[in-house]
Amino acid sequence: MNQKTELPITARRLMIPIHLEQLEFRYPRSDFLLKIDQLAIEAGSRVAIVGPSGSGKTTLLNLMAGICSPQQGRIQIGSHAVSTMSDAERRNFRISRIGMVFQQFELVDYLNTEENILLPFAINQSIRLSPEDRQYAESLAVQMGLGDKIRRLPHRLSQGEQQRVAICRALVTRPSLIFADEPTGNLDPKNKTRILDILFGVNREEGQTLIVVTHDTQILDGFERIIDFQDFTVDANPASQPDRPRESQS
Amino acid sequence: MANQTAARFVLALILPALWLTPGCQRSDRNPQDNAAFSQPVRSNLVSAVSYPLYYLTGQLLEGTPVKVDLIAPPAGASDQWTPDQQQIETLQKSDLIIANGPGAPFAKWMVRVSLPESRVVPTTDNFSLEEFIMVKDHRVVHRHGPEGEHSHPFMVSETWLDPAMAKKQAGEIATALASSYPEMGDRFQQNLQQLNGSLDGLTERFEMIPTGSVITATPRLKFLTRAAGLPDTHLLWFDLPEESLWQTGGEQAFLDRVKESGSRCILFDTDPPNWLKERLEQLGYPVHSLDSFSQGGLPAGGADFMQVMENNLQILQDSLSR
Amino acid sequence: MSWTKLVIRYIQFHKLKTVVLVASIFLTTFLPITILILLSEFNEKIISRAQSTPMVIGAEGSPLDLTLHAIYFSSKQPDPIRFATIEEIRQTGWARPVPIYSRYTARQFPIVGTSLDYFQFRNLPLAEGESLSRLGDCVLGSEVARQLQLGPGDRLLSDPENILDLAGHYPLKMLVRGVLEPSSTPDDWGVFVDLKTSWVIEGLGHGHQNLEEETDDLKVEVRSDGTLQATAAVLPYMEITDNNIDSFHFHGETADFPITAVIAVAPDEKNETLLMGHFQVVDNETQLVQPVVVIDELMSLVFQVKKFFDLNAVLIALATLFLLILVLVLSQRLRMREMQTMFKLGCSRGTILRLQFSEIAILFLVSSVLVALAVWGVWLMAGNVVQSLLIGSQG
Repeated sequence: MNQKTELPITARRLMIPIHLEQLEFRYPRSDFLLKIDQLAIEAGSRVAIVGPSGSGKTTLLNLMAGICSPQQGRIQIGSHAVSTMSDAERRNFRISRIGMVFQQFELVDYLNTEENILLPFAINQSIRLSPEDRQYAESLAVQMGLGDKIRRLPHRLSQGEQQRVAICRALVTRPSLIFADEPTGNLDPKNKTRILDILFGVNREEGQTLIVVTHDTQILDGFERIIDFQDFTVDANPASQPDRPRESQS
Repeated sequence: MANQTAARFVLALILPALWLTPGCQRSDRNPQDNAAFSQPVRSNLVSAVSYPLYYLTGQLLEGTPVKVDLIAPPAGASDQWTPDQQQIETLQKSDLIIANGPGAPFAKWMVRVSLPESRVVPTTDNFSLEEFIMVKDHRVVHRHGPEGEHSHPFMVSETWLDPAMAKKQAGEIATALASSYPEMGDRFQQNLQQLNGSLDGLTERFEMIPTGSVITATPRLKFLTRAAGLPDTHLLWFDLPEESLWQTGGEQAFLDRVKESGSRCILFDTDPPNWLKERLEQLGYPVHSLDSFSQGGLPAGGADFMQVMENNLQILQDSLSR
Repeated sequence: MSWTKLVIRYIQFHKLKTVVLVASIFLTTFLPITILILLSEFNEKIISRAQSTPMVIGAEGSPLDLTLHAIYFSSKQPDPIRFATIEEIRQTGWARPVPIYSRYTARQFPIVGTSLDYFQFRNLPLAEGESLSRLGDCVLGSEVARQLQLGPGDRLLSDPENILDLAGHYPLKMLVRGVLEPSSTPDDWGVFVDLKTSWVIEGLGHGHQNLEEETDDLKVEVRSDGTLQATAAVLPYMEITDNNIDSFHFHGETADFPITAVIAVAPDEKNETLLMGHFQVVDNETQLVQPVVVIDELMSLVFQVKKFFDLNAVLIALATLFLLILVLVLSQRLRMREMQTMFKLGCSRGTILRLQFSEIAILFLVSSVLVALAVWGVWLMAGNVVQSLLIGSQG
């Protein structure tokens, strides 16, 4: 955890806080209900969201990323009211401000390392790939120890390398927020440490807000704040559940 | 061609999408014009393959724009002569090719040349078999092809030496001309009547020939002797005997052959060499030379068919009167 | 990197799947279209040829064999008829007869013995050289000249009918006199000779040294009756040249010489009807057929069969289509996570659909282009294929 990863020097990101109020979300044809009365996350903080499977951790991440919309309540990220945005606005906001990291890495199997890193530029016309972006992507790959594996397809990379490619892909658009869903879930201890070091390094160096969903309590040491969903997730009977997550400050 | 190729490529692109049902038709050429083939373009040129046919045709074409050309071996040429390329081209562009019939020695070349068969007019085709004179050539027997052992039969082709036969041939030519040039049909009829008149005059002349028997050097004069009602004994001197062979049995063979005939008059249709002429006369067989037009070409001395025939008859009459 | 590159990368990565799908589409489309084109070409060519051949006269037997022989010089020959038939037709005055005697081949191309009238009848101008002039000349169809690389002045040897038939006819070395312009008809595939030249190949006519001048006892023996007997040592000339053409002659009655068909061209329907009547009433050994009627009957039968083939092709196409849909649906299901990731990263559902559609479209486009190229090739060759099938398959 102490290992520092040097990242390319770029302009510091805009520090964006997150505010959730009276949030209610229900999946269609499901009893599941996520209800959050109020939740604020400071700009530039390192936050871990923990809780048992099915408690709504990933759903919260998806709501904040604009992947899904709440039925009620407000999600404010910086000056943007994500909850009131149209689908297209949410997509554009997500791709320009949020970097996403997933448990299964979710690399595209037919693209090589470089192409996977640059994928956000290929799939959304609201951002254009400039020579600087390409240079930045290359430097990210080099910094992540992938400089000699730039032409390799995912199946020829180790799991740690694949997750590093996924992190590069999350960072390549220079986002202000990084949402990572179980980023170490499929990694061995050594790689877990390395990935967390990278994410924390980014947070430290660039000031990006880092929100990590995890159920792995062993990795919580480096986070500034831990939001525990254990008593927070609401199921079929929301009235019987508390509406604030239990929080602890590390 | 390039356009067609490009068009085909475009069509080939469209075809898979359209899945055309059968019936896509392309047309490379127009269908033949059968009527045009039945009535081909005319050149107003007619060819004849022997001088007598050339003469008869020329008489029939008198006063018309149609020309007649003679394609025949030149004087002195053997019957194995073949026309040159220019003559072949003339023949191929002729509206009609006036021929005698199969086997004419002067027109043997006809089987060696590509002719437009539908324009060949065989003028003896309507003769009955009895009208022809056939001589078996028993000299060479050989075997080739599917017919096995055989020798070459010899058909006498100098039909025009009989004016009645010549008249029939003229009639055939006139019919063919009228078929090819229907607009000149009346003119051909007039010319034919005139020609028939001349030939009838010749027939009358034959009746003045005294009776008697003759010996002919070849069967080529047989139409003449038959028309004159003269029994003849023919020799097969297509190639005249050589002096050395004559002395070693040739003369005896000749005497054996002619002893039955009782005739003392030998008719040649070529000029025999002097030694032969003298020897035959010594033996008591005076030689008389006629012209059978057997070479096919123009007669010597610029005489025409009628004049030559008159001359032949005069010689015949003189020889038999002695 | 653009979304199109993504599509191309996907296709490149899944090469085997792409090849299998493209091949399935290609084969399902190409084969029926090829049959369609060949049949269409066959139909068009054979009907056009039949239409341009008003009447054919030949030996009694199969009208189809006679027609195909007369218009395509097919190697299955009808029995020969006498050359006298030509004169018989000519005598009626109802039609112009054009003889065909096609029995032999030269380097596998049919040797067509005919008269000069044939070139006029078929409207076949010369591309180079001259027309037939003399015995031993031949004029080549454009395709024969192209394939054998022959031109005016070259020589072409006729094929022996049977290499073991030592006593049979001798091959004749023909002189190429000219080459016909391409006509997209069977005439492009013919070696045309004068009818008399084909009779020389048959052995009915020949040239050899003058036996009376021959002094070699091995070649000529004098019989007791004084006649000359040619021995087997006297070989006929195998090539007709300026030096030996004068010795060429025929034996027997030309009227009895063989021909395999006569094309009769009447100036009008009335004469045509008269000639048809003549051959229906007069002759039991020959028949007169109208190629259009014969070929119409053939093609109606062919198209009856084609209906079953069409049904079969439609069923195969449907089965292939269902399989393609299944493969594509399964493929999309396998890619669900990939699409989900793209969506989470900020890709619109429209773009995702566009990616998927483009992949399918490219498969179909590639297949279509391949089919188009193959069809184009088939189309270019269809004439030759049909021609060679018609000329050769009858054998």
